Order: sequence, then C-alpha cells, then structure tokens
Amino acid sequence: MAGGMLGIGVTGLLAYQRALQTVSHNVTNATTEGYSRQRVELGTQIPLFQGGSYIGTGVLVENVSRVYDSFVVGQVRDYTTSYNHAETYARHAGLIDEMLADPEIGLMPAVEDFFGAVQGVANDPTSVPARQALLTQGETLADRYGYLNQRFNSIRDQVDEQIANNVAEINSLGQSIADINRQIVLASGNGVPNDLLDARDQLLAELSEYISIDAQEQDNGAMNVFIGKGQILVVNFDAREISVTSNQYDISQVEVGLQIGGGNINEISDQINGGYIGGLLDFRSQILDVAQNELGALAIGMADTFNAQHMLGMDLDGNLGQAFFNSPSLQVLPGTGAPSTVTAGLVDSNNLTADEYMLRFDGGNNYTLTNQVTGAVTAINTGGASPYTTPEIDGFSLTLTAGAAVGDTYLVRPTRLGANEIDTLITDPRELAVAAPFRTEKSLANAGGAEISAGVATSVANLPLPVDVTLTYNAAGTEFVVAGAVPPVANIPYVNGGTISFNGLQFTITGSPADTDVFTISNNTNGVGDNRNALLLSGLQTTRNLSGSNASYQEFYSGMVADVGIKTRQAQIIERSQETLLEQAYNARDSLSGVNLDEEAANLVKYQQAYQAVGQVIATANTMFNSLLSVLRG
Amino acid sequence: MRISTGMMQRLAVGSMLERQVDLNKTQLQLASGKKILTPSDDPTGATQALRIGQQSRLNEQYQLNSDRAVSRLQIEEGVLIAVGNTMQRLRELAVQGLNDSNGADGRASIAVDVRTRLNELLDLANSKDGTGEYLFSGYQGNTRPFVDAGAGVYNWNGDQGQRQLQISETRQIDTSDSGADIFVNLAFSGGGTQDIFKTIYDFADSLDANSPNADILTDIDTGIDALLSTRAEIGARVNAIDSQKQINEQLDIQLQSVLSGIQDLDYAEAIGKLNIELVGLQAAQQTFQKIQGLSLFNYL
Repeated sequence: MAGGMLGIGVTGLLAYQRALQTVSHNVTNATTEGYSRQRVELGTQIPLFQGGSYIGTGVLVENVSRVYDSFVVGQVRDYTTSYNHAETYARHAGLIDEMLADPEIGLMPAVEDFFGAVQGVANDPTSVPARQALLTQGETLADRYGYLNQRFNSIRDQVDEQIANNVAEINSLGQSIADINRQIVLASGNGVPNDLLDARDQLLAELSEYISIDAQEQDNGAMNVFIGKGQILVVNFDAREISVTSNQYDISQVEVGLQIGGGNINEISDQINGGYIGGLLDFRSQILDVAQNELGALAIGMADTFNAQHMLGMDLDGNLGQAFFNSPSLQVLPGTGAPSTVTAGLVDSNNLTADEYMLRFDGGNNYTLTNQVTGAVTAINTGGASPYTTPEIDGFSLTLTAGAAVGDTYLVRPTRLGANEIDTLITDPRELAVAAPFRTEKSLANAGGAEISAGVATSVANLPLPVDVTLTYNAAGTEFVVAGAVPPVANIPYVNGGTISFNGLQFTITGSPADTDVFTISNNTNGVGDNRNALLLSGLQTTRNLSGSNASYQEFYSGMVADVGIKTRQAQIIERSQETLLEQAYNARDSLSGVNLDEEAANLVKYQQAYQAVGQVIATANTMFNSLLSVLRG
Repeated sequence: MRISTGMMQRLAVGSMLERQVDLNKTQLQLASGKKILTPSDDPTGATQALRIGQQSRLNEQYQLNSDRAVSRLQIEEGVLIAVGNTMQRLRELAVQGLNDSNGADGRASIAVDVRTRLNELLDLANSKDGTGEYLFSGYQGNTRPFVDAGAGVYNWNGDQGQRQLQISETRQIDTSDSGADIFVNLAFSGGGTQDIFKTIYDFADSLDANSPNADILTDIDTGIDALLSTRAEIGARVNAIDSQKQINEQLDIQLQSVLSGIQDLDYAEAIGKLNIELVGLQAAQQTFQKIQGLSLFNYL
C-alpha cells in the first residue's frame, strides 16, 4: 500500500512540476507581444481494479494548451490592417493640410501681392518702379507655384520611398512565415507547438500592418497567405516576392509589382488595399495627385486668363501686349510600347478640371477617352485625318497622329505640370500692357449732347487701326455711318446706351446725337497715362473665370484647401474609429489569451500547495514503510 | 470580463497618450492664438478665412487708391483755382479794356497785361501732376496738351481720356479731366466753339486795334462756367470718395470681426479646456501608478 502511495505521490510531483513550469512560462511571457497564456490540463490516471473496487492511481498531465481563439486573432489582424491604412492615410493627408495652412508659404499672399502690384500700376501707369514691382511680384507668384509644387513632389518622393521600404518588409515577413511554417509542420508530429503558433500569429499580425492579407491554415498546419486579389505571398514553405516597379506611363512613379515569369512584372498597385502600403497608395491617388493637379489647373487658368487680358492691352511703347506668363504644357504620357503620337493643348481654361484621362486607340480611326474620375467616356473618330485635332473636351483638345497600335493607351494629365512650368515671360517693365489699344473721342464740333464711352478691346485681331474709324450720325436713319473700319462695317442703328461692338472694339454712345455729329475711334498713340487695361487686369482677381465661371482664383484655391481639409478631417475621424475598433479587438484577444499576473500568482500558490501536499503524501508513505520495517525487526 | 495585465497597462498608457494629444493641441492653440491650426480643423472656416483675407487685403488697397484719387483731384483742383483767378483777372482787364474812357494807349497797355495773363493761363493748362504727367492731356500723360503755334493758333494735342481709379470692388472714379472740356470745347459768341486761348489772343489784338470785342465778357464767362462746373464735379467726386472710404472702413471692421470669429481663439474657453485636460492627465497618471502598484506577488 505504501508503494501505491509513493507511486501516486510521484505522479503528483511530476504533474505539479509541469504546472508550476507553465505558470512560470506564463509569468515570464506576460509582456511578450502575441503570447497566448498556456494552461496545464490535469486528469486522473487510469484506476486499478483491486479487491472489488477501483482504486485511484494518481494524476497526469493530459495536455498543455494555449488559450486561443482563431476568430479573435483574425479580427486583430483585420483591424490592424484597417487601422494602419487609416493612420498612414491621415498622417500623410496631414502633411498637405499643414502645408496649405501655413500663411507664409500659401499661394494666396502671393496672388494678393501680385494683384496689389497691378493696382499699383493702375494708380500710376507711367511709373517704371511701379511696373517693375509688378514684374517682380509676377515672378514671385510663379516661384510660389513652383515652390508649392516642389513640396508636393517631395511628399511624393517620400511616399515612393516608403512604398519601396514596405515592399521589402512584406517580402521579409513572407519569408519568415514560410520558414516558421516548415518548423510548425515538422513539430506538429509531436503535439501542438504552442509557442511557434504564437510566433507565426505575431508575424501575420506584423504583416497585416503593411497590407491586407488573407491567411488560410492548411491541414498539415502550414498557413498560406494571399494578398490583393488572391495573389500568393506564402504557400506552404515557399514565399513569393512582390517587387517595386515603375508606373508604365510615369516612370518616375513607384508602383507595386508581381513577378509573373519570363522576367515580366505585373503592376498590382490598384489591387492592393489596406495597411501602410494601401494607405500610401490611396493617399497618393486620392489626395496628392488631386491637390497637385488642382494647383496646376489654377496655374494654367491664371496664366491663360491674365495673358488673354494682357494681350488686349497696349504697352508703354504703343505696342499690343504680349503674353505675361508662359503657357504650361498639358501632359500626355504614352503607355508601354505606345508611340508618342498624342499631344494635348489648352482650349478654354474656364472648363479645365484637375481630372486625369485614359486614352485608348481602338483601331481604325477610333479612340476612346475615359475620364478617370467621373468615368465619362468620349468617343473620338479622326475620320482618317492625321494629325487630327479633337473638338474641345473639358477645356483641352487632343491632337492625334497616326502610328498607334490597337490597344495602345495614353495617360492624359492636362494640369499636372501647370504649377511646375508657370513662369513670367515679360522682363521689360515698358512691355506691360497697362493701356487700352484705342481711344474714343467725340468731335468738338458736335452739336448734340451725346457722349461716347472709353470702350474696351475684345480682340486685337484688327488692331492697330490702319486709319481712324469715324461714326457719323445720320438723324434721318437714326443710325451711325461707319467710315474707316477694316474690315468694313455696315451702318449701325442708334440705340441710346446700347453696346456697339465691331472689329474687337466695344463701346457705348449715350444721349442725343445731332445730325452729322461725329465720334472718332483711333489708336491710343502716346496713351502712356491710360490705365484702362490695368483696371481690367486687376478686376481678374475677383472675377469668376474658372470652373465654368463658378470660381475666382481665390475661390478655386479655397476649394482645393477645403478639399484637402475635409479629406484630412474625414481620415482623422476614420483613424480614430479604427483605433477604437482595433483596441476592442486587442481587448477581446487579451481578455481571452493575455496573462493576468494576479491569476498566475494565485495559480502559483495553488500548485505550490498541491506540490507540498504531495510531498507530505510521499513523507507519509515513507513513515508508513519505516513503521512496517520496525515491526518486522521486532 | 477577464482582464490581462498587459491590457491594463495598455489601457492606462493609451488614456495618458490621448490626454497628451489633446493637451498638445490646446497648447498650440494658446501659443498661436488661433482656433484653426490647419484647414482640417475647420475646412469651412479655413476657406472663409482665405476669402475674407483677400477681401480685407483688397479693401486696404481700395483705401490706398482712394487716398491716391483724392490727392490727384486736389492737385487738379489747385490748378483750376489758379486758372479761375487768372480768368477773373482777365475778366477785370476785359471790363477795363471795354471802357471807352481808355484811349488807344490805355488799351495797348491793357493788351500787354492780357497777353501776360494769357501765357499764365497756357502754363496752367499745361500743368503737370506730382508724377510729371500733364494733368489735362487725357491718356497722353507725356504729351504737352496745348502748344502755341503762333498767330493765335493753339494746337490741342490731348485726348478726351479720363483716368479712373478703383475705390471699391464695383466702383471706379474719374481722377482727371480732359483739357478739351475745360479749355477747348467752349461755345463761342462768334458761333461754333473756340478754345479760350484764341479767344483771349484775339481780344488782345482787338485791344491793340482800339476796337475791343464787346462779346469778350460772355466768352470769358463761358470759360469760367466750364471751370466751375469741372470744379463742382471734382468736389462731388471727392465727396463720393470720402463716403466710399467710410463704407470701406466699416467693411473692414466687419471683415476683421468675422475673421476674428472664425479663426481667433477664445482664450477663456481654451484655458478652461487646458485646465480640464491637465486634471485629466494627472488623474490618468495617478490611476496608473496606483493600479500598477497592486499585485498579488507583493503578498507572496
């Protein structure tokens, strides 16, 4: 009987040693990331049938299991992916948000200074210093566009660099998962390798920070990992690498690629979502591209509208105005293999948007242009002409030359280069077209009281005037007879205060003209003190000449600032809600699998006491054995 | 619910970090005095601030333009007052010259005086403004408007252009007058129109001939009337500019107050918030310390 007690006691000693070891393992791993607490499951040994009843034979360790729920762990992974996506997106949006918030580097102060200088010239049209100030402010404005564009580019470079780093991290984690798969499959023959499984879960959790993954456990214990739309990252013990590649249209832009054999790489950026890398890609396409295009659209619109008015004016030497700013080019990028047979030109900056377009050659005379933002499709038929220029599409036109193969594609980004390329062309202050190119006069001999307005030029195609134009009133016909106009103009019926417009000259005559009263329109020779065109130029500041006559420069810029602000705010709200969800998922996991030190302390005491009690059992067995021996010794 | 030790730690640290983020933002607001630190804080407010910023800037420019316009008009008025004085003196000389008590000699000496005044008048009509541009030549600031071609012919080289300045977003005001209306385009007693210089020149000749033109007083009065009506217009413009300036000033006050409402921080509120956040952070820190101090292991 003492032998039985001893045997039972030994099973207890062994079992509680295991239990105490497990408690110690839990305590020491209380802060290990991804560790699941382990539990010793004790059971009774098979009893012996003896003397008509079953006698117990002690305790045994049935299993050391980890407290784990794959659903909860999967949730942590999913929310990790969405949180990191939201956090990355919001953090980068914040960069642009802050950049636009800084009044020192924002665009508006430069625009306001520039138009302030226009008013300065209007106030003092013959002053060369005032003119020089306008030229300087024009350069400052163009530089400000360039500076902001440079900031956008440097954020773009950072994003590209991080995408490349993230691809490397993803590949390294994929390799680690493949390696640990092998260890798990090998170890699984001898039971469940709890700590290896925890380590793999931790690797999967880290991977899900970078990218959205789909993890599928196989029957052999290996975990297969897929990314994007089912692309394999890990299968069994093998990891497939993703890579960094150039955008097929814009080779300066980094994209995520996948090796597809034969040395070819497929661009898979648009299939990737979630995590840091998804956040970076979404930030780039949804905020950075849009903001940079909008700034470019504003630069193009401002250059175009300012130039148009400036070219309706006359400079200090009596010449018609030249372009004040250059005209930034409209970007068209051919896809892989496509020849450079497409160019874009500005038609009407009022209709230009920040959108990007995809042009595809469908064969024959047919092209299809798809707006990447609105999805609007424009069918283009060249009618066999080469080169063929399309009618206006959203403010620009395309000129297509034969040579593209069926299926060739082109990325059309009309406004991307605007802020980069805008510059001033005029360097001589005398060339500022501050005056109007013509002036009006009533003859001093007029008998009637009618007055002629100063007038504005609407086109300079027929200027300067070869000879003075006279309007002589014919009372009998209540009309003006026009002489000297080139091209000639028919008699104009007189309407008091009505607008008279011909050959790019526009003015009004009001009051009651007498028969044979004469009004003269002549070149504004020596009109150095005239500031009419400067007043018209300064009026551009508050005129809604952009976005289909819905926005002034300031309103257009504000729209862009508000757009970034709203997106950033939304991103921050999403980030916070994702953070809460992730926190809850962590809590659910920790609540189940996390180590509680108080609990372990209690277990320590419990198993220690049990161990001590078992020790007593063995001591008692020993005493009993000694008692028996002493009886036998007599 | 079961709570793990790591979770307690994380929750406590998380709540401290959150408090610190709030505190940091309030601190930045207090340091800058601005409610809106970046457009995302209040996208609508940020764009309103941009719009009002531009309006306010323009408004300042309009005030500047108004001052400029007034000073231009004052220079012109000063010249016109001098012209008026000369015309009055000419009128007196004309009255004297017409008086038959003067003999041929008397009229000849009056004619000398008249010619001196005529030159004075011509000089005034060719006056320049502060920047060296002729006042009365219309758009042709560098062109001398009246040139004595001899023999009573005075060429008018100016035009009828008037310079306007922008004194509000919708208002431009004339800041010059063409010499044509003041000196040239004057009804003449002999029929049609004639410039004042030729009228005076001919009168001086008629004095020398001892047969002064009796209509000279009417013609001089026509000139004075043209002058007075221009001066009245200038006065009206200066008044208009003054009242526009007041409107602009009012607008500026309104704009500043709206702008301040949008972007300026309510210090009392922000300091209250800061205090609450500080208390919150301290509470979180103390709670952390207390809870971390509790462990069953302390009692083993």
